[in-house]
Amino acid sequence: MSAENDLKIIAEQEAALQFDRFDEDVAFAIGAHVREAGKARGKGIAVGVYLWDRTMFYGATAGASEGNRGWVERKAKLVRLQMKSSYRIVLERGDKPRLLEPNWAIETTEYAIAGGAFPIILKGIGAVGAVSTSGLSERDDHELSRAAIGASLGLKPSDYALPPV
Amino acid sequence: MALDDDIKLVREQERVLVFPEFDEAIAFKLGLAIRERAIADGLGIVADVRTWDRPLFYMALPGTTGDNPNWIRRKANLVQRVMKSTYRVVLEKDWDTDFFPPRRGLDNMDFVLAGGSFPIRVKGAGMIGAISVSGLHERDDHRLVVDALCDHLGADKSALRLSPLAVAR
Repeated sequence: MSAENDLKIIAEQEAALQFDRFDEDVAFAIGAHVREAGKARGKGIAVGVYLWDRTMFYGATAGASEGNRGWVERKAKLVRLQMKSSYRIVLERGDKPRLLEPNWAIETTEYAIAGGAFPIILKGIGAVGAVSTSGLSERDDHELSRAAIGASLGLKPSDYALPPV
Repeated sequence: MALDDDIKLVREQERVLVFPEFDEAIAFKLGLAIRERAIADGLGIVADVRTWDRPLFYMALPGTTGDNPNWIRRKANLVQRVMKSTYRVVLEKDWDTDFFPPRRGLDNMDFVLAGGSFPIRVKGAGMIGAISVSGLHERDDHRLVVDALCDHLGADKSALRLSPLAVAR
């Protein structure tokens, strides 16, 4: 696993995982998919599916705490800020501190520079929301969000997957 | 009754005026069309196009002030919250005050009962933003937005247009 290789694959993920249509049912299916994946691993995870104007889904599995909710929301906000997967932003920043630079003049505590949130991209429109997962490593959080979006588009979990660490 | 007809027509506007796609270029084109219409008609307005995550277009013409963007913000907030054009909310309201009753929890500072903001709906995606005008009577603000949407989407303007203000009153 190299950051360059991951970045290349994430760019492919973002290019491929785009919706013709999106509604409450799709959002629910994605959120439920992430929850089931978390349960299958026996891990406490939290997942949120957001459009920029409203929450479409929020769920947690046993073991997820209020702290996870904060991560879910703050990662989704990072996607909204930069319109990219939050894990891609992490990898692109490399060794930079995990805090937005002061000259962005943004409330840094409201954004988490951490992987796990993936944009909901609609063809012909762009990013309209995010699927955000918290509870595993940031790379695995990213992959849960990615795989759930992929599943809702009829893809297999292995399609566009990051290589195992 | 005229009010019922207006409500029916605005609902029809909202049903019909749906984009097949939407992006920054379309937002700019719509904003520009409203601007050119306003200049041609000598109207002092501001126009704003935004998606829920970011602003995409804003312009002001002479005669407007720093107060207009605050109206725009509060109108667009109302569209976002109730998913209707703000003029429809005004027409449909069944209470007396020109602000929301406290139990609605829509603070007057952030939500205004005033027409002129219309949802941006995209087929298959739903409502992703709002297009708003401020500066005229709320009915005319609304009409400017709807005219621009009709032109852009090739909808039948004569069928979808609200009657002008003078006739309505």
